[in-house]
Order: sequence, then C-alpha cells, then structure tokens
Amino acid sequence: MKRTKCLLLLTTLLSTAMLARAETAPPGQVDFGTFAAPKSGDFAEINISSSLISLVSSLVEQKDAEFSQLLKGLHQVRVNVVSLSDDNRGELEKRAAKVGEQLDKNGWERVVRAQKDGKNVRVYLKTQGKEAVQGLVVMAIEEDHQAVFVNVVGDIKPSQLSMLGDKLHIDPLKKLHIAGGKAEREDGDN
Amino acid sequence: MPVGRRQGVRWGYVVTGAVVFICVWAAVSVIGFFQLGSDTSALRESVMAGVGGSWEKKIAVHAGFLTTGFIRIGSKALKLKAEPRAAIESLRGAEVGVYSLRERPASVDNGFILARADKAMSARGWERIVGVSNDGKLVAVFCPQRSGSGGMLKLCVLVLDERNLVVVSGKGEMGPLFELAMKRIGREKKLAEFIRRQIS
Repeated sequence: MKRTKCLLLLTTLLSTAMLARAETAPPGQVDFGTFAAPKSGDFAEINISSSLISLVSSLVEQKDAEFSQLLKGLHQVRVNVVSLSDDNRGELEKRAAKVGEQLDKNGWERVVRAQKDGKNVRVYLKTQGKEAVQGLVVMAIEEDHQAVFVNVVGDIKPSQLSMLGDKLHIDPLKKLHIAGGKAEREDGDN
Repeated sequence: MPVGRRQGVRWGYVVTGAVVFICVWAAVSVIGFFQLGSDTSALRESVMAGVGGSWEKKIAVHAGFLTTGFIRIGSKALKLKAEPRAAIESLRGAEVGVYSLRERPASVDNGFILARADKAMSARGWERIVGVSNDGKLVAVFCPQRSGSGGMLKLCVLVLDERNLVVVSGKGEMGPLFELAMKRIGREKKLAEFIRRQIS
C-alpha cells in the first residue's frame, strides 16, 4: 500500500514537472525531433540558445545597434541540414509534412509554400497580433540533395524579418514583407 | 634566549614549508600541463569508446590561467599580426589533445559517435551547439548550458577525421576575437562591393 502511494506520488510529481516544462516552452518553439547523421553525406546541426545569443548581442551592440536589438529578441536558433539518401528521404519528407500539419493546427501562418525544380520550401510564422513574431519555421527539401529545418524562436518585430533572413542567410525571408499583420512574398510564391 | 631560538625554528619551518609547497606546486603544474581536464577527457573517452580500437596519444597539453597569462604578457614584447594577437588576448585557458587510432576502423558511424558525445557532455552540464558531419569527418562544438556571462565563453570541440581525433577546450574573453571578426566581415563586404561595382 505504502509502495503504491509512493509510486503514485512520484508519478504525479513527474507529470507535474513535465507539464510545467511543456508550459514554459516558448510558443514559437517547434520540436522537429532528433536527426540522425547519415552514414554518408552532409549533416549539420546548429542549436544556439539564449545565453549565447545575448553574449553575441552585447558584443555586437556598439557596431550594429539594429542587429543587436534583433538578437536581444531571439531566444533560440536551431538549424538542421541533412543530406538526402534513399534511406532517409521518405522519413524526412513525412516528418516535414507532419510538422507542417501540426503548425497549421496550432495556428501558425503559412507564409510561403513554393515547389519548383524539385525544391519544396515551406515557411511558417507564429505571430502575436500585428506587433510580434514569436516563431519562425523554414522547411526546405531539395530532391536528391538535402533537407533543411530551421526554427527561430523569439520576440521579433515583423519589420526585422528581412534583416533576420539577411543575417542568418535564410533566403525565403529576405523577400518577405509583413503588411497589416499579414505576410506577403515579393515574388508571389505564396 | 629560548624565545629567539623558537623564532629561529619557526622561520626554518616556514622556509622548509614554502620550499616543499613550491616543489609540489611545480610538480603538480608540470604533470597537469600534460593532462586534460575532466570535461575534455569525458568527451575524448566517449568518442574513443564509440569508435573502438586502440588509440595512441600524440600529445596532450593543458595551459591554465597562469600559463595563458604569462603568454599574454610575453607576447606584448613580440610584433604579431592582428589575428594571433586577438587570439592570445582572448585566451584564458586552453587544452588540446591529439590522438591517433592504431589501425584503420572498419566503419565509423558519426551519428552514433555524436549521440555518445552528447550523452557524455550533457551529463556534465554541456550542450552541443554545432555538429557537422561531412565526408566521414566529424566536428562538434559544445558549450556549458549556462554560458556567456561577462563576455567569457567556454567551448569544447571535437574533430574526428578517419583515424585522427583532436579534442580542444578553451576559455576566453570573446571581445577581442569578435572585434577582429567584425573588422574582417566589414573588409570583405567592402571588397565584395568593390568587385561588384567593377563588374557592373
């Protein structure tokens, strides 16, 4: 009986802790899952947390105040690049589709969906009113080449998005304009 | 008279103690100079166990706060280029280990090695910020989960290239290096702009 009570208490504590953790995750954060490095081909994973971002922000402050301001609003930047092979192509395409569905369900705005020359690009934004972008997701799958997953979490002003694209080399963002809280692409791929 | 003798005895103890302390300190420093710290060792061990086989140590060097301090002071007398100067000014401690696998491995699974390294380092409060695998080469960069206070950054890097493993750990003031990087970027941007104008 005592053991059951202890087990129950432990389970309750663990679930509370897990719920608390889930609740504290910023709204713009997306879990792509873990990516395994393929046996051959390229694999790159970058995961920059807020502490490192604020370090860079303080260093860059005097040289580029505007960029420093943008960095101050960022909480996390995660980039995954995985080479496509026969082994992982299907799984990665499914994963991108699944994440896209989840984002659609969770109120993310799909601002870009372009399919051209075997390239499939999707860009999603999580906005809070007209004032702030809480999260950004870019998923690009280049047939026979690589899959790219990007998640930028923070408190970003819509006007800062093209600068973000420029500084972090996220091409689809460079041409993005936000008008009246609604995102638009310059070249009309949307 | 007895008081004077007692004082003499005390001074003898102090001098002997100081000499012993200096000798022990010097011995520990010399031994420590050729040993990696616990975090870097944990990273090295995780990779070695992941690859398997028998490894040979080529070199392992550890330079702490004092050593890097002496290097900084000594380098002031030298005429150095901006890059090495910035690196020396930034550095507050570093350790490097180079190891080689005695026989060529049948196959190396970089994904497995990375997962092992992640596990070993996260248990010690480090997180991976970069992981790159390309053409059989593997590079991973770890930093403490709470890092960057006061402009100081601590990094642990592993480079695995077929039979060679390099583990590097460094602690440094990021200001001088960042200053240099910004200058470089600015110069390259100007150059690119100049070339673009010439072409058009």
